[in-house]
Amino acid sequence: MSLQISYHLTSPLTLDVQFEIRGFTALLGRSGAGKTSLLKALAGLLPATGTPWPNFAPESRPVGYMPQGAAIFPHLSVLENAAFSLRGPNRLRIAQSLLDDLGIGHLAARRGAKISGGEAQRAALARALARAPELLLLDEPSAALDASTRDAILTQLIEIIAARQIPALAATHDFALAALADWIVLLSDGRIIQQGPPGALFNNPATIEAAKLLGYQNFWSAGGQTHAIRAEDIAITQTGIPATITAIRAHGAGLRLSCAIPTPLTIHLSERPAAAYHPGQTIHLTLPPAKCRTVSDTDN
Amino acid sequence: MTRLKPILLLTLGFLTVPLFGLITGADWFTAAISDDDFRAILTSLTGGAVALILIALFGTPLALYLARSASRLSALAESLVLIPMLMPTLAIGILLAAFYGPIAPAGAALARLGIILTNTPAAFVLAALYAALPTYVIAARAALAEVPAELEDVARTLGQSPRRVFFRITLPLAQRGLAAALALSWVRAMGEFGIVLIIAYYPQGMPIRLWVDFQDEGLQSVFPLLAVFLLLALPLPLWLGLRARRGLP
Repeated sequence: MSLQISYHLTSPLTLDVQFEIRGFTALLGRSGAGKTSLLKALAGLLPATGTPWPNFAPESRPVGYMPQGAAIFPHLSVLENAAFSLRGPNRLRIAQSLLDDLGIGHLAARRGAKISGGEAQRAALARALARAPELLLLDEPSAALDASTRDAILTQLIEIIAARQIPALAATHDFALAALADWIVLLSDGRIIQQGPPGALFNNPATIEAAKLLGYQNFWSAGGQTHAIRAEDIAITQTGIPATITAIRAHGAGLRLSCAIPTPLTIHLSERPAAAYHPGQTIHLTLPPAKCRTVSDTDN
Repeated sequence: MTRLKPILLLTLGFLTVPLFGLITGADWFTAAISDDDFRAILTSLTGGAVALILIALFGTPLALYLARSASRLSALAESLVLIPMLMPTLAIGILLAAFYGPIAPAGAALARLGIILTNTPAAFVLAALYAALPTYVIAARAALAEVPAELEDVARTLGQSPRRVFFRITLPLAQRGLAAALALSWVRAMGEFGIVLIIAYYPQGMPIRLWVDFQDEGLQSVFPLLAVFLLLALPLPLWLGLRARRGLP
């Protein structure tokens, strides 16, 4: 279930990456970092050098590619989509059993243009799996999904892929999706800045950039080092570091406070406190040492 | 929109006036289709059909290249396509006579191979090609550009060669637009007068025959052939054009 990747791209942007794919791997990076380009290069759709599959044409690579929005062929039925790569008399039967496995067997006769985002994603997965790929590439698998069903569909998608023991690389800018993965690879500035299992990575970002990609909002310097903490890990207490509230916004059922100590800090409160806060007010913050991370300023 | 209504009606009325000419101008009882007229219809239809097949075969790959490439080379290719389209047809006819004519080097060389490209059926097809190929390429490029490149990419990763991707994805998704492009080039090929006048006066197609009838026998005598001409040139493109506008089912 693991695969060693070493790729070099020069167009449309320069990427020089070495990393490992272990099970369902999330490729986390900002938009424009080159995630889609890397996926396309691995699929053979962009010129690149490296291993595996050096200089293979897209049609001769054992790779299943699912672009953003699934790209279901709109003029074909869901069944014909799933059977697209198959030949021989059994092609439709094989495709139908794949659709059944993914729980969309009842959509077989439906036009590709007339299914929902989640259904399209599963149809695209069935289409890619039909070729028995050695690697699945998923570009922003969460982008085309409704917020209400997103997590359920993604969890299911990951389970299906895991059950088939096919390594997958999912490009995303969403650290919540990355948290569901077996392995996370962080892409920034054209290279891999850190990789590891989610537990280790979320708690030990090596650099400021890695911490930002993993959802840390707060950074400050002390004792010649840079520290980071998540907004939800800061507590408001009776005593502690004095801070001035600069702005207040609703954040779901809770609140989002912007404070200055004077370094700006963002705090997420999961519940609304009984006493109302107002800008200009002085409060006291506790930054639990167990939640504070020391990060490097540079990626080198 | 209500304030615009009179202007809209006036413009549409102005555009439909030629059709009224067909009803009021003709003396339908005495008019008939002559043998010469019939031969002209046959010439136009066969010449146009051969040209259309060649246009589809050679124009589609070029249109696909223009739709998918954004290089400086493709910009140059596009301007080369546009030149014959923007040039007055009479000028193209004269330039073609200078190139393919019997005393020109190219024309002489082809004549030695038995291909004579002035006043032959081949010359008629040649004229139709120059008239209609650029129109087809430009319209087909627009139709092909509407097919998301992403779908073609995915089809490649599903084990399909570029050739199979074209026939299984690109062509089916662009077929309505391509049909409309063919229809448009059919109209251009049927109606071509300027190029034909210079290099393919014989065998006479419908436009030249209409012109000769008009010169020899006057306005009244041309209406039967004119009606046939419009019937063959117009309804198919109109239908395909409207279908393409409605988009995919």
